[in-house]
Formats: sequence, structure tokens, C-alpha cells
Amino acid sequence: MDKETMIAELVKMVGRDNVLSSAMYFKLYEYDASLNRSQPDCIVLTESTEQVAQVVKFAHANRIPLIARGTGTNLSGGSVAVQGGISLVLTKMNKILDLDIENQRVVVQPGIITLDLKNELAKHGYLYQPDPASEKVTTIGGNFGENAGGPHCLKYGVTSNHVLGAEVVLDNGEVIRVGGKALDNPGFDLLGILGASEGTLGIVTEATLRIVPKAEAIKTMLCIFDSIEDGGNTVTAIIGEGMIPATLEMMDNLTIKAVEEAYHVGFPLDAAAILIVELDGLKDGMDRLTERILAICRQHKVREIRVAKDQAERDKIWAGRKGAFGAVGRLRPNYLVNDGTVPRTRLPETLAKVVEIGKKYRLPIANVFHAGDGNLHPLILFDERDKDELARVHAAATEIMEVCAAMGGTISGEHGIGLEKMHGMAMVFSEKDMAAMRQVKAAFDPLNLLNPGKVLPESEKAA
Amino acid sequence: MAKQELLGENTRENIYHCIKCGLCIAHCPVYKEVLKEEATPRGKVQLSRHLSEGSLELSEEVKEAFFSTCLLCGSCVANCPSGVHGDHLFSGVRWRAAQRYGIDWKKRMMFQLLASKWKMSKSAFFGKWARKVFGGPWIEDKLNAGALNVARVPAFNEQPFSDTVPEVVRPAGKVNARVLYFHGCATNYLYGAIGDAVVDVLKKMGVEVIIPKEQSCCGLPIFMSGERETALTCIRDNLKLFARPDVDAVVVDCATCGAALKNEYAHLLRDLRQLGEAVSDAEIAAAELMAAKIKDVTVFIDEHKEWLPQLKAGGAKLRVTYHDPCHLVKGMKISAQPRNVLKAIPGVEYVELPGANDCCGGGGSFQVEHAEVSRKITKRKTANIEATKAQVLATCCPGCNLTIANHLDPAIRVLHPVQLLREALNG
Ligand SMILES: Cc1cc2nc3c(=O)[nH]c(=O)nc-3n(C[C@H](O)[C@H](O)[C@H](O)COP(=O)(O)OP(=O)(O)OC[C@H]3O[C@@H](n4cnc5c(N)ncnc54)[C@H](O)[C@@H]3O)c2cc1C
Ligand code: SF4
Ligand code: SF4
Repeated sequence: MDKETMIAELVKMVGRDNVLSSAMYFKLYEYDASLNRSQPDCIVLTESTEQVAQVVKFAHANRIPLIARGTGTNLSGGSVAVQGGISLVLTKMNKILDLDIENQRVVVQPGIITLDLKNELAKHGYLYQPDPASEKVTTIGGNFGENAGGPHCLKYGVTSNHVLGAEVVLDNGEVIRVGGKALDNPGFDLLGILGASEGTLGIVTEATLRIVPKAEAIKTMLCIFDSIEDGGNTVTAIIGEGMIPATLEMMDNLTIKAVEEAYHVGFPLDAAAILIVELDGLKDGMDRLTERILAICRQHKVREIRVAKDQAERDKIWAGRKGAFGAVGRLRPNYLVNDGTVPRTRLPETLAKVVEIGKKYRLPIANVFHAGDGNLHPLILFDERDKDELARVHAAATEIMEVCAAMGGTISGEHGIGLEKMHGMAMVFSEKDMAAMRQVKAAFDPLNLLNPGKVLPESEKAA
Repeated sequence: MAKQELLGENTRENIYHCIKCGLCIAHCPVYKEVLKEEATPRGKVQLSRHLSEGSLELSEEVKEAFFSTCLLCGSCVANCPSGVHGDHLFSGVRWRAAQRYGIDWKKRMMFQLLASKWKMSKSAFFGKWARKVFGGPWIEDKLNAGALNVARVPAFNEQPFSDTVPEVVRPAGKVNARVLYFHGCATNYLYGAIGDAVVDVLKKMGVEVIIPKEQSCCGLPIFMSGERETALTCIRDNLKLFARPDVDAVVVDCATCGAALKNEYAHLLRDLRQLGEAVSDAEIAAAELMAAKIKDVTVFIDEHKEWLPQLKAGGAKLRVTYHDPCHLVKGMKISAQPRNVLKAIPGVEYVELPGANDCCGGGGSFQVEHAEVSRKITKRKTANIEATKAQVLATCCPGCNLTIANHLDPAIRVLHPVQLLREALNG
């Protein structure tokens, strides 16, 4: 189908304002927060499930690739249109459809900004737990698409643990419902398959989320260490004693410096590591728990502990943590972040390897990690204008993935595979494992039109 | 023809530090309404990159994106973890766009008037005259004043403020300090009462105030609209008058002017020099000297509050809230001092405004040209103000004052903090 006709048809479905196609718009929707760029042939913004269904049906009938897009903040190339086609932008579908406090559920459209939802819930004393560092801009659809995690996921689980139901537009434009407000649903767990599917199996047009009352008490501690090992061992010891704090977040010296420059949080510039421990729950027993944690820190040679006195101090600490990725952009123009996960006990060992890799490829690496989950985020810093450096970056990233896999971990904890880590899939899955996944993909999207070229590498004997 | 660089080197480096994280999007008032990528700061930084590298044509559509989906409020700059100066990029692109496509004649006329002060001050009946000049399409015709309700735009001062004060105002007794006073165009032509308050309060604090008669527009509104050549004239005129080593401070009553004088002059002069304009080292040194002395008037007062005469507690309390102008809170990182000034007034019951530092949506001529988006942003602001049940909204920027007062419940007064302080001092 020629482009003119395609555009004319799409305009009929969603209106002139919602179909974008010009050199400028192609540049505006060619990227996400990864290094990948590729232009779509057309950008469509939809305002209802019916419109999504119409557009998807049209794409199906005309064999046009279709890529769902939230805010485009994923770090793996997930919303980049590698094979062109339609970029389906869901940011205008941003309403809360049903706030059901009694049943502790909320039904939302996929384009709602995660933090906007939380702010609305806060007015009722409620909370939606997942808290990716980018929550002030990401959409719920994108969070589900990548199965986003965040500091508090240590205790509460990742996005898919909080999505209980969804309305999904299938590849041919049919609309189905999976799950619902209940906790357990009969039949196949399609919701489980859809979480983290990165827009390759269907388009989520509505999500039912679990919400919980806000914790009665919160305690946030900033623990400062003179060595990364001490910090790491503290984490292992806390969990070893059977405690699961709400967060156990760590940052290394390079990150501390960048964050301090950007946010002036008061992190000491010479600290080797800081650990952010947050406890939440009932008031009763909170002090005792805090004491136990502080004792463990002291046993592991903590240099200093600061307990946030109020919400403002807590906010400041978290602003520093949540802005960490961005802040490293001050050190070098670009970064590539790996989010491999290893068994928690092997974190110190893995970090040492990461440091070696940095040395080997002559690249600065800043580290931020969800220490409690063993989820690393080595940020490899570089300048993409330097092509030799760029090549070293990719080699280093691949080696880091290999290390994680060898440690008995995996290549991505929360940012997804997208384009960037596709070549790492073979490090953690056998050809048979991937063949099973390909069958699922074929069942949902036999024509391979939904976000093609992502997640699953072509099989060795390509079809 | 040699390829003309789009942006100066300093400015250009910003595009390479944008990691496309998108965190700025949360702080952009325009994106919240438009929900498309061209409205995001990230999007415009990326477009700047393509423009600068020559991989995108500066089309009418691109020009529109830079003018109609940005208030140049600086929120993205204040919230970019990577330190990207989007504002410098965007105004640089606007400049090139204005060179290519020209700017609206009404705007050009206004800017040239702002720039050539004499044309204005020599006009005897300035108010009437200005209404005539800008009348018809701009001011009188409600349909074309965009989001502004013309009937509620304040009348022009009878006389420009600068004609109503002597060039030097000396306090009665001991002289604690000597300052230059930069009153913006808004005080000069619209809000003379703010100027009176500044002079009166400073005088009562024992401060000698010098108000150079020939001062010009700060240049920022002109600069923001892409007319850099005209802006440069303003900059040069102002440097001659205000870059003086023999004063303790240069006080400013307008957040926008303050941000321009403090943050933009030196940067802009350097940029222009790189792009081939003849700018001398002495001019840059003068800009730096002046920048170091620039103080918002509330900051100056707060730093020297011991000079204030004793304030007597009055009768009924006045409920007051405060709006942070973007160019003050984001541009100059000032939020505590104006509040301190307000809280120090015994008759004031201060209430904090929810979303106090959200943009008011005005953005100078933005509200006239892009009414729909502007109006939505302003609505959020006025709803928040009205919810506080305050009787007075205080703010340090006449631009915000104009926009907010135009949409706010008329029962709520909109004042500069210094006006309230003056009322308290004069009982
Ligand atoms: C500074 C920074 C910090 C970050 N911190 C974290 C973090 O702490 N934890 C974390 O997990 N991630 C983090 N991320 C990554 C990113 O923010 C998340 O992956 C986020 O979930 C993406 O949401 P989005 O709205 O931007 O979606 P997009 O990037 O637009 O899309 C993500 C994927 O979901 C698909 N998708 C989007 N909407 C739908 C839909 N309605 N139906 C089906 N598929 C859809 C897309 O096709 C794409 O594959 C961070 C990113 C940045 C830049
Ligand atoms: S301008 Fe700053 S905050 Fe915005 S996307 Fe670029 S780096 Fe991120
Ligand atoms: S200056 Fe303000 S309006 Fe313009 S992009 Fe930045 S945040 Fe948005």
C-alpha cells in the first residue's frame, strides 16, 4: 500500500491531528532512551480502544508492522521501529477508568503516567507499589511491556505482580480480556505471558492494577561505606537475618559524585558506596527493626548512618537515587546500562569482574544497583561520537552479560531485551527454550507484525 | 557559500549530553497539554541536534514546534540530571528560524519599541499612543489577544515610571548601601506601583537607589522570540549603564529581567562572538561584573532585613500565598527569600501554594499566540490559588502577574511582595 493511501485511511480512523508523518515527526519518534534509532513510516495517536482495534486491524490487513509506544524511556530499543511501520503512541489514553478503593483495585488506560496515578491514589491514602526510577514519566503500558522494577520491588515484586487484568488488542484487531479484579483466574495465565512481552504479543488498552493502603510508618536510612565489599556484605547479612526491607539500593563512588553534582543531596564525595535502606510497615516494631539494621551496618564497618527525619529528607535521598542514571550524563555524554541480575551473594564477586572489564576496555563504569535483588546497573560511560570507544562499549556490555550468566544469573532484571540484549538471549536460553518462546509468538502474532525484530533472535535456521 | 553554523560551540555541546532519558518531560507544562513528542524538551533537544548536524531542514513545521510548544520557562533545564541547557538550544534555533522566516510585524514593532527606549519615553501620552499602536489586532480586539482577556489587561502607566522618579534617590539618614535599580519594561509601562514600592522600601532601609533614566529592555523577550540582533542592542545599552564596580548591588524587580541579566548576557555574548559577531573581551568582562551584582529585590531585602524599620503588627491578618516565577525559581534558584519577606510582615498569614513552582502558562507572547495551551496551564495555576483561600497572591514577576491576574478571581489581589512590605511599612 502506498504511503498516501495509508495516511488517508488512518486519518479516517483517528482524525488528522492524530496522524503524524513528516521529516520532523520521523525524527521525533525514532528513538527511546537506548542508543538505537530507526524511523517509523507513520505515527498514530489513539484515544480509545476502538481506535486501537481499528488501527491494528488495518495494519494486519495490509501487513504493516506496528510498534506500541508509551513515553519511549525504555533502555533496550523496545519502542524503536526497526522495520518501519506504524508507531502507535498511547500517551493520550491516560485516564483512570475505575477507582475501586473497597476492592483495592484501579482500572487505568495504558498511557497514564505512573506517578500521576500514584499522586491520584495518594489523595485516598493508597499506593501502587512498583516504582521504576523513571516513574515520573513512564506509562503503565510501558511498565507492563517491560515488566518494570524499582527499588521497592525487593519487597513488593515487579510490575507484573501488580497487574491483575488487562484488555488486549490482538494482532488482527480483536479485543480480548485476560484476568480481572480477582486474584486468581481459571484457564491459561495469558497475563503472565503478556507481562514483559515488549509489545510483541498484543497491545494493552486497559490494565487492572492492585493498590494497597499506604504504609503507616516509613524509615529511610542512608548508610555510608568506605568499601563496596562492606556495603555488599551488609546487604547479604540483612537478608540473611530474615529481614526484607522495602529497599536495599546501592551506589558506587562514581555515581555518588555525579548525583551530588546534579542534586546536592549531601552524599559524601569520598564514600566508596552508599546503601539506601528503607523500612515500611506498622509503627509498632519499626524502631526495633531499625536498630537491628543499624547494628548489622556497624558490624560491617559502616562509616556513617543518616536516618531521614522527615518526608522532605526522604524525598531528597530518593531524588538523588532516581536521578542517578541521568546524572552520569554529566560525566560523559552517553551511557549504556546493563541490568543483569546475579544471585545476591555473588554480587561482590560480580562487581569485581565488572571493574576488570572496565579496565580492560578503558571505559569508566558507574554502578547503581538494586542490591537486594542482586540486580546490577553498571553504567558504561562514553561519547558516541568516538566510534572506537563505541565499539569497546558494545564489547564490554556483552562481556558483562556473559559474566552475569556465568554467575548463575540472567541478562536483564527489568529493562527488557528489546534490540540491545537480543544477542545475549543465547547466553541464558537454549535453542529449545527459544523455540518454545517462538511458538508462543507465532500463536499470538503469526504474521510477525507486532514490534517485529525484538526480544527473540531469529532462529539459527531462519524460517 | 560557507556553511553557517546553527549554534555556537558552547550551546551545541548540550545536544550531545542529552541521553534521551526523558526525565525532563515530567516538568514541561506544555507537554502535559499536548502529549506529543515535539512538545517535550527531549524532542526539541533532539531536533536541535538534527538541525545542527544538518540532517533536518529548518522547515516551517520545525519553526512552529520551537515557538508554539515551548514557553522557555526553563523547567526542563532545572530538572535535567545531565545538565542540558535546553533553553540555550531552543532560543538559538528560534533565532535562526526568525532569520529565515522573519517574525510577525506586530512583534517586531513591539520589540523595536522596547529596544529603543527613547521612542517610548519621549511620547507624551504614552499610554494612549501605545494602545493605538498595538490596538486593533493586538490589544483591543479580544479575539486576537489569545488567552488574555483584554478588558483585564491593566492600563498603561500615565507616564513611564522612569519619568516619575529622580535619577538618584537618597535616604534621609545614614546610607547603608548604594544600589542600581533595574526596573523592567513592565514596571516602567504597566506596573508603576511596583517601582514606587521598590524605591520607597529601599529608601526606608537606608539604601541609596540609582535609577538610570536611559535603561533599556533587558532583551529577554526579544531574545526568546529569535530577534537576537535587536536583543544585542539592548544588552550593549544596559551594560553601559549597569556594569559599574562602584555599587553594592544591581536590584531587579522582575524575575525575567533578573535571569537575563544574571545568566544570559555573558553566555549570549560569547555565543554571538563564536558565530562571527564583533564582541570585545571588555564587553564580556562587563557582563560578568554585572552578573555578579544582580540581585532580585526580595533577596537584597532578605539579606539586609536588619535595616528594615520595625514593622508593627496590624489588625486583621491578610491571607497571602506565593507563586514562584519560573525565571526566579528555575532560572536563579530563588525560592526562600521572597517567602521570608512575606512571612516577616506581621499582618500576613502565609499559606503555601500547592504546585507553587508550576509555570503560569504565560511565557510572554506565548499566551497571545498559543492561547489554547496557555489557557489550560494557567487554569491549573488559578485553581490552585483559589483553593488556598488567599486574599493576595504575591509573585516576583510582572509577567506572571499579568497572566495570573487576567484569569484569577478578581477578588484576589496580585502583588509584588515588595508592595505588601510597603503597605506594612506605611501602616
Ligand atoms: C533515567 C531512567 C531510569 C529508569 N529506571 C528504571 C527502573 O528503575 N526500573 C525499570 O524497570 N526501568 C527503568 N527504566 C526503563 C524504562 O523507564 C522502563 O522500561 C519503562 O517501563 C518504559 O515505559 P515507557 O512508557 O517509556 O514505555 P516505552 O519505552 O515507550 O515502551 C516500552 C515497551 O513496552 C511496549 N509497550 C508500551 N506500551 C504498551 C502497551 N500499551 N501495550 C503493549 N506494549 C506496550 C513498547 O512496545 C516497548 O516495547 C529507566 C529509564 C530511564 C531513562
Ligand atoms: S534534556 Fe536532560 S532530562 Fe531531558 S531527555 Fe535529555 S538528558 Fe534527559
Ligand atoms: S523551557 Fe519550559 S516549556 Fe520549553 S521545553 Fe523546557 S519545560 Fe517545556
